[in-house]
Amino acid sequence: MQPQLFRIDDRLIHGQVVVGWARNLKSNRIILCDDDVACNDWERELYLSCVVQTVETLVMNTEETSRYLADESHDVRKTIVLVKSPDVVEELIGFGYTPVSVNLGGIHFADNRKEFLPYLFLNDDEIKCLRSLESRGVEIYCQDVPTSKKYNLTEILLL
Amino acid sequence: MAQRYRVMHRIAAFIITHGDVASALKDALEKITGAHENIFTYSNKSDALPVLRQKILEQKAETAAEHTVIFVDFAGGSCWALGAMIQKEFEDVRLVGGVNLPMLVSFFTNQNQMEFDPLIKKIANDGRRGIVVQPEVE
Repeated sequence: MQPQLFRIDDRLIHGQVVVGWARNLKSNRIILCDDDVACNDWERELYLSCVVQTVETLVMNTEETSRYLADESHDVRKTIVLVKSPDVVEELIGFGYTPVSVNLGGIHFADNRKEFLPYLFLNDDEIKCLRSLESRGVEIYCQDVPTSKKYNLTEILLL
Repeated sequence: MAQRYRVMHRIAAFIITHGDVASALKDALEKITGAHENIFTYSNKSDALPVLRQKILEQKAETAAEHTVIFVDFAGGSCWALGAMIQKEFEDVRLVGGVNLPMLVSFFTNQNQMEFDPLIKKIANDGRRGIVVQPEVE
């Protein structure tokens, strides 16, 4: 069973996810997968405060998330999974869970990153990581909000 | 060469928003109240949050105001998360969500007349009072 949306977004839980995706997809659960947030009570509360009460939010580290998603007894058909960077997907695979399809929803400008889309800036290591995921059969597409155009990764990297 | 005098301000105001809302708000505010040197605007459009945080902290250090207020457009979004992280780090920072023009006009009208915390309370109230529906609807 696959989650309804598996998303890479360096802002994790924010308006685009809560208003844009969760409402549109009628999600009932968000899994925030991040090692730092999972062990910081203050940050965990900050992200939880951004979500409406009708959507259950779980904050877990990478190992816990991998175990959770690999367990077929969890119904994740109405679940959104959020990670902040491509290397977290790599770690999840290392722990035993491989997503079928990954939404590249937002990686913003920082040093050494090049712009590919207004919401997508990538450095060489990130591109390498994404290509490696693709070569192992993970579908990767770029889309910030449900109403915007969807691009596949290869198409964007050629721009 | 004309000597440049640096005007010291008691309070520095940072507006962080989605899109170009912050700079448009500043522009509109200055049409009403005249120009301000203690107001700085940021968009979350392109920069990663740590990059934006660094820019804000550098400006905060340079401005060297006694107090800092951070206005964001949407409590519970990425601008809010960034503001909350800065607020947690510095005792002199207050964070206000839901910024609007009445709130900013109130801030710039009252900033030199009141103590910092009562001022923040007043401008948040003035922002709320600026939301009016006419005619009254059920």
